[in-house]
Amino acid sequence: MIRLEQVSKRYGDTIAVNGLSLEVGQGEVCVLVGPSGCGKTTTLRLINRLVEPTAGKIFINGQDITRVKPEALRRTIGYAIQNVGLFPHMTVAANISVVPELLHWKKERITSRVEELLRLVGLDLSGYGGKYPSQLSGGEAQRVGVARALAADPPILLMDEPFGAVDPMTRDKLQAQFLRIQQHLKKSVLLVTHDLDEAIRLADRIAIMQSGKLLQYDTPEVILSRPANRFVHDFVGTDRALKRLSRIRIDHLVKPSPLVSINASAAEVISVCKGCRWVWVVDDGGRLVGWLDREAINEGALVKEAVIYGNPDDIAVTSGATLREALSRMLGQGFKNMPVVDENRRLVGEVTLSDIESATAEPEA
Amino acid sequence: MVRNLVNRDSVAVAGVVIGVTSLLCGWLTLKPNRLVPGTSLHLWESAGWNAAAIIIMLWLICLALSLVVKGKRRAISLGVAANLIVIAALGLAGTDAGKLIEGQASFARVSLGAGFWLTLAGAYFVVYAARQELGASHIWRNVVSWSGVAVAIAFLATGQLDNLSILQEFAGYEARFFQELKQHLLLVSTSVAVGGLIGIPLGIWATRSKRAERPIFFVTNITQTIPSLALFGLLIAPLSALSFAFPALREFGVRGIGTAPALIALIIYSLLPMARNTFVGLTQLDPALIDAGRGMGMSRFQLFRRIEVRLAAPLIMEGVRTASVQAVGLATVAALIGAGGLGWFVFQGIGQAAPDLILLGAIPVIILALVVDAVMRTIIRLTAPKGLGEKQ
Repeated sequence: MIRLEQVSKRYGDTIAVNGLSLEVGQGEVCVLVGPSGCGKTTTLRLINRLVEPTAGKIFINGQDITRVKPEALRRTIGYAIQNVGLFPHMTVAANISVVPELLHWKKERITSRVEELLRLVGLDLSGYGGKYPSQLSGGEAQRVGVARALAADPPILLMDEPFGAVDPMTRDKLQAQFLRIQQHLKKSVLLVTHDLDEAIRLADRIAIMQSGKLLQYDTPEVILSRPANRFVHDFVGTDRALKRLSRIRIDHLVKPSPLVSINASAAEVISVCKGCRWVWVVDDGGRLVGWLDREAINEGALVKEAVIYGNPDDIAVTSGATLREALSRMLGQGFKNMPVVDENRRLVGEVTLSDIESATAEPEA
Repeated sequence: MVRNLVNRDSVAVAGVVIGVTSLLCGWLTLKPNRLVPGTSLHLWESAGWNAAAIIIMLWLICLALSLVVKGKRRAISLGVAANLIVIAALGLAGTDAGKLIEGQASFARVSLGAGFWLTLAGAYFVVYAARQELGASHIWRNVVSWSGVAVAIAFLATGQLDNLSILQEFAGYEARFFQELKQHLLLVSTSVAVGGLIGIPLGIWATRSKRAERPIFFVTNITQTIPSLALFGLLIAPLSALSFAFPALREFGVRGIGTAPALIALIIYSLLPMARNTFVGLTQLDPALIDAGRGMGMSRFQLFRRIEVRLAAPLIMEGVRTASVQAVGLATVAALIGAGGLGWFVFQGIGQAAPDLILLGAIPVIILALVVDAVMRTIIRLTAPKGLGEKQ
């Protein structure tokens, strides 16, 4: 899909990109990662010709990009940047419409496309379409930025630190949403970040760069288990096993767990929880409330009369979380089992420390 | 003691102090004719003790309000009291001028004294303080700002002030006044329009070319520092030479003196604010926006038209406003080289040693500058792109 052949970019005496060759396949997410100044952003900007190479060639679908007018080329490539770059004098809807308008789409087509995209990123047209960027939160703005990049349904997406300017929790949500969207859309994505954890989570393949050179280009699993050289080894760090955990989602480790309704009686608790010390408590809607010590409930009493421990927001992970998050929570809370909830906080099961251990012991790659 | 009052509004207090001390200065001056100095009369001498007591009482109300209470109510009351002072001062001056002049020879004049002007100044200090405290409440802001002005216009229209010397000067020059006012407006509007057509593109050019930037601002900065009198004078020689060399140019008014050199000087002065603001407006834009626009496939022109100009527009317009207000003042000097305008009265007044004639030129210039400023601010506010300045 995208192919760079021996591409170099010099600025005077400094070499920003040095003899870089790279190929990104159709529907693949390639993450460029490296310390600042390693040439990753320049590489990205070479592809939509915001920067012209000093040497080498770049092909998209086998066509040399210098044969396409830069403006025309850019309209076929989605572009999302760190500071979002939403135009402050245009509404959210107008911002998303920019490229379709440049491509002279019909008005009705643009309107329905804007609505579709806002829904895709979890915003709605009636609530957000007429807002101005200054009225959005950081996370909302980033989502609009992604929607804008996807506006004309480009086969290629270039993203420069697209989740950079938000708090860690929002970033986590945005990354999860990106993966969900990418599963549907199968764009060829080239994403730049300085955050290795982000790279490991999002990438099909990671390109590690240093001083304009590509050091290693492979799947996250290989990069983590077999770093190509000293620099990559150090860059990946000594917590490689932990990093690998962020590649694995907990959903396939979730097992059903003993649970009781908050309206249950002590007898029910004993029947549900024969061999165990404690049990998860859910409300009428199946939402997690906390946990109950089996021995703390008096005979003949109701669950709701007993002491229920834990704040669901602290003790539970969502089913979309990675093993790394689950493990971190478990260590933090001192749990050996952790409840797993869906987006509506309904209990779906639990993960156990021993299952995570065995998953770590047998890396997928 | 005053220092310790928590709710003190210092600006309003300053206004009151000015207002009260103004009563110690002469209120009206009775002169046997328009040129000689006359006898100065205090407020209580011309208007009587009752009228003086009313004005003093209004000042004391202002003082009490500006020291004790606080909030929107206070601001409204302060504003109303200050406007009543303005209205009373104008009304009294008009009526008393009529009384004083009665029975005098027909050359006799009644001029407004320093006390009167200081009273107005003090009252508008208080009005300003009230406006600040009122904040966004538009209706009362307008009432407080403009009711005194409205009554002044009504007084002018009904002839209440006709016995004052400045209006007698106006009566003597009525046709001339409107002619020069028109000329003044013509000088200002033409120079700002042409200056904008040159200055704004210069500002744009400076953003596009580092090599152009320095000379553009070097020249415009230098010209800005030339005293206006000197620049008007300097243009006489080259333009006379030009019109002698090409007599055909004289048909278009190109001569050493008159409208042409005045316009050229005013245009030169208007370049800097407009070029500078255009340059700043375009260069202060967030580079991420330009990057986003280019990366999305906008051509340079599309980027300029859809993004850069839109976002820089408020600052560019701000430059036009500065240039316009500045031109209103500078055009006064243009009368020196025969270009006319309201400055004509100023220089005539200086020549004849007739202070009221100077005021006939100077006061309309001040009012004009304020009006141009207000109009431009409104235009800028109404045309500013939505979505800016609504930060959460």
